Amino acid sequence: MRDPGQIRAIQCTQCGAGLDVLGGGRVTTHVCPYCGSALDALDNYRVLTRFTEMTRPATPLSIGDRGRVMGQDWQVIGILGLSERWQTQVWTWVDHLLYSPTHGYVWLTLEDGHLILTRRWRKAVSPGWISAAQVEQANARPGADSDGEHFRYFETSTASITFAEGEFTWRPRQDDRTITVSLLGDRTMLSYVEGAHEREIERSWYLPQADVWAAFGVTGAAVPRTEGAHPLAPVRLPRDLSFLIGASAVFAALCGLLALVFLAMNGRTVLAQTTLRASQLPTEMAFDIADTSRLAELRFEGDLGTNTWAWIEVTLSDPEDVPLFEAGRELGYYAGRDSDGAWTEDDRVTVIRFHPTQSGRYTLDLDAPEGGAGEAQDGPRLGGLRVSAREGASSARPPLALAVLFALLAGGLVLWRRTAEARRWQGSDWEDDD
Amino acid sequence: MSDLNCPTCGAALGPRIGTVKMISCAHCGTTSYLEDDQFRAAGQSGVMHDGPQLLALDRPALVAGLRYTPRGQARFSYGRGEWDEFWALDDAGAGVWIAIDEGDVVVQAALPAGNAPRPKGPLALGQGLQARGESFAVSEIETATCIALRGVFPEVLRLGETYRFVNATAPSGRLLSGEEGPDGWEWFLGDWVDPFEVRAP
Repeated sequence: MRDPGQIRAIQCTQCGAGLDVLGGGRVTTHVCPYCGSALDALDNYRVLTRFTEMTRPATPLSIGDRGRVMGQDWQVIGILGLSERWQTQVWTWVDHLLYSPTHGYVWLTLEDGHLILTRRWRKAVSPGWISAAQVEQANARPGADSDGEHFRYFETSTASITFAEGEFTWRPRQDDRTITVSLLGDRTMLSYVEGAHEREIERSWYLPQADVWAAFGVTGAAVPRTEGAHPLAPVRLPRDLSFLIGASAVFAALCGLLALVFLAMNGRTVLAQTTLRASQLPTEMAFDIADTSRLAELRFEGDLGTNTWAWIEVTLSDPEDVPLFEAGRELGYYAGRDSDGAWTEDDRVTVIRFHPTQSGRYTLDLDAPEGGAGEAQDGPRLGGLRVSAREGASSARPPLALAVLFALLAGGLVLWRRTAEARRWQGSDWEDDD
Repeated sequence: MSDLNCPTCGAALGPRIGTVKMISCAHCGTTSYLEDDQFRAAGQSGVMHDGPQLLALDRPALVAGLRYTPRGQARFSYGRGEWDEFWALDDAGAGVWIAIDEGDVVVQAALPAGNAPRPKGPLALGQGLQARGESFAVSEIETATCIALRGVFPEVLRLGETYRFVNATAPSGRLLSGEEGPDGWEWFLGDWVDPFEVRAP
């Protein structure tokens, strides 16, 4: 006859409370949630030690809670309260030990309302170990590489256990201290963790907060509020920011190059520089234009004394004697000295570009009806006027303006990224920032 | 079976206790187990109790980007826990051992005798070993018993047989494992694999 069997409970050998056994084969210690006794899970739950005067840390998660994180189902099997003191400051956080039969054991950390997943990292890490002492002696910020990610030193922390409940894969002791050297990468954090009896390397991920809380059934007001930014929290930057920066820089360079090319395209002189004395004005000049596909350019340079100005008037007529445009320009030259030192304002040259509508002989009517010294309008002050004209000219201003615009865009995006990065690193304890 | 109650609070454990061996009471959270003939015989038979697993026999899987098909599964007990050794073939028919122990995954291939360490005398923790030009330090020396077998293997494994094994780690993270048999040590070299990198193709 088949033995019907007998139901036996797993109970705390100290207080008799029923224990919930959830963890896998590596659980060695079970801390009774009722009396705080640490029980040897490998030796009939023999009492190893007792946690006394423990203050339960604030967490909406409990032993036995189940949730899906990083695509796997996990169950909370242990809860640790931890704290770090430095001078008068105290930081506290809660580590939840999660267990999955297929993926083993991971930590779900709740720190300032942020959820972080940390697990042992067995892949190759270079260097294989960084101790707190090495950090102290380092002249440059220590770095490490693993899994294609580069990590830079962030902080060293010394944590003490203040609370323990549930199952653990090692034996936690009250006030056990763990020294962790953390390095921050673009996506994750790498930690060299040194406890009383072992060393291991861990890697941490920032989790999609709302999804994880919902997965564990924590909703509404039960979800802890976040305080401050976590260095692992994703920075809200466009995903293709690097591309945008690169593209803006490339466009700025191309436009700059184009501006140089346009500058180099001087065209052909159609009116050699001619110097007119003031007494020769008004006057009429003619020149022939053959190239109607590109801009033509008139250049005027006034012969002006210091702090004088002149107003010139220009009328250009096309080969059919139809006025193409009329324009007026002020030429001036000012110089002086003030509290900031010497200054000059040189506007003795002006350029007028136009698009020739047809080839043939163009006529330029030129006059300088007004002028003066300083603010006064006391008559022409122009000593002479040099006039020249070219065809096939180009203007470098549009590509130059675009080059500046793209350069400003690239610079602004870089500044945005650097500011966001600086926010991530503001909690770092590395003082000589490089 | 449905009339079984929680020994701690007296609440009914429900019909599931008839099909499972261990259950947590929905009322007080106490874990209870059914101590029957099968429970007492646990470990004496070669029954492979199926739980959630990263790999399944004859089902191809991508392990760190490489495709393997497990053809044999051996379960070993090291006292407080168990782990599985899968004999798996890649698409070219080359075989590897994939060890899985609660999220710890190692893929190793047998080392030819010419590249294998030749330890003189008994091995000790911390002892240095050389394999394929790399230095390893012994990090674990244990014994394990084969408690279940299924599928096919490239060597003879015997149910209930106890093996002595050693693990040695290189600074690069590579793992060298040795298994002591009647003809001396057999050596296997490989790498840890992130369990999140084991998935269906």
